[in-house]
Amino acid sequence: MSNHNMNNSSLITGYIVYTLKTPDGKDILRGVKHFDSFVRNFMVMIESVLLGQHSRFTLPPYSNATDVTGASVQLGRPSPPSGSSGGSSGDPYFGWSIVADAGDRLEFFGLPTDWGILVGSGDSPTTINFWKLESPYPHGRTVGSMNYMSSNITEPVFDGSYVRFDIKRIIINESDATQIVREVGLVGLEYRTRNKFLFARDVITPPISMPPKSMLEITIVLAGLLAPLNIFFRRDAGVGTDSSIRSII
Amino acid sequence: MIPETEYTVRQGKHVGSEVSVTVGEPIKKYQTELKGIRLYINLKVKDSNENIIEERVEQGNSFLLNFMRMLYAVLTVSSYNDFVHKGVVRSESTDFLGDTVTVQYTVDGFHAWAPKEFDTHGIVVGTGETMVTPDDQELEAQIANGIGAGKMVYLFSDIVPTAVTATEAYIILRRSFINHSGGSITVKELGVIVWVVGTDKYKLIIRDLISPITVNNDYTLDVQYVIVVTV
Repeated sequence: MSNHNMNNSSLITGYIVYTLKTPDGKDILRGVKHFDSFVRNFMVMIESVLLGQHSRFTLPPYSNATDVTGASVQLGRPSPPSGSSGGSSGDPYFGWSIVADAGDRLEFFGLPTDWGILVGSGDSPTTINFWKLESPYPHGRTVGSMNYMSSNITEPVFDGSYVRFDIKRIIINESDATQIVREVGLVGLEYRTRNKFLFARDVITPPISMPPKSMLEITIVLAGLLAPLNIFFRRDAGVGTDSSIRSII
Repeated sequence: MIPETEYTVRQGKHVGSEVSVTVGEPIKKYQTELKGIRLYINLKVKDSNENIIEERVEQGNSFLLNFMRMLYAVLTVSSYNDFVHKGVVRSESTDFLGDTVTVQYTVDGFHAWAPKEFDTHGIVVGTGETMVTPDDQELEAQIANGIGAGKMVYLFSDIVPTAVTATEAYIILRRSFINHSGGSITVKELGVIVWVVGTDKYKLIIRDLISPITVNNDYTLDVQYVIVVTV
């Protein structure tokens, strides 16, 4: 895409908004950064969504994504439409959820806990083919793990500046040691296969040092910026930050 | 109290060519590089002998609210009620945690490809000039498929699988339109419509105004939408 070296006036971008809190809820640290790094898996996901499948038309070969184990697999697809006008039997769980339930609840049901908003201690720069966090903290309460709570997501709205939706998760360091967060990732769980795919990852600088029992609230804002409104304010993202960087894209 | 300041932004010939914005505090930093999902448009006009008459690249400006609704639907596996099966209760079901839930809405895919001569979805073209708004649901004046006056023949709307460069991953949506109307047609707007599979719903997810491009009789317009992510 080297011929597209022009300024771009519209895009869907994101922010990571984080607040570190004491166990009793007092804010220790607030920050916001661009959520820059959608990786190849994300684009394969968009391709898969826009292609779907069809029982009669021969569609292009589907791209494979790379799941968090490193396996190259095809993303799941909805059932093809039946009949000439479409009535579909459908797969009620077509998609890749990023809205993870609480780690404890998932564990209780014997389900994977390593999806949704995840954090880790790796700090290597993201490359386009990244397929997992470098050093993710698994769900748990001991040193080397984090207690992942449930996620909340807002429905898409146009708020006057952005076409956006937000996803939020609280992560608690239940261990008795300080733990460092250097990376944040967004991992989608494919319901039918339970394969997990990293869609985006960013390195947090400076790293977030989480004292024992502290809570880290992470909100990822996915925001579409429409051309006539291509001015945005970080402070408008509801971040509680004093930063008021204003940008023209 | 910080005085209000007014700024004007100019964007050439694109949508919102001049926008005034009132803000409540002074600028601390004026420009930054943003990454994310970007959009480009490649346009090519060819004569009946496939000679390229005009070729250009434009910025894609307008992912619509519907695009975000589609993303929301697949990233929550719950779909979006206004977008899919509004008000339709399909069935009782059991979710993957074992809870009984009412499955009101399901997502069966969003076809952005379309067979030849289907002007209901895929890439579409039009002659409208009205500014894009986030909740646009259709082109202002879509050119219909056909051979009569003011019509163009829609060829297959295709999707090229994901490709990568060192820092980018991208897909290309592409379609060609042939003008057999008997006169020239000036295309001023483009869009992408998806068919929400399993329903009779067609949703506009991208709409752009472009610098007008004239397609003479028997000429072909090739349109490519390139969707790119960059790390």
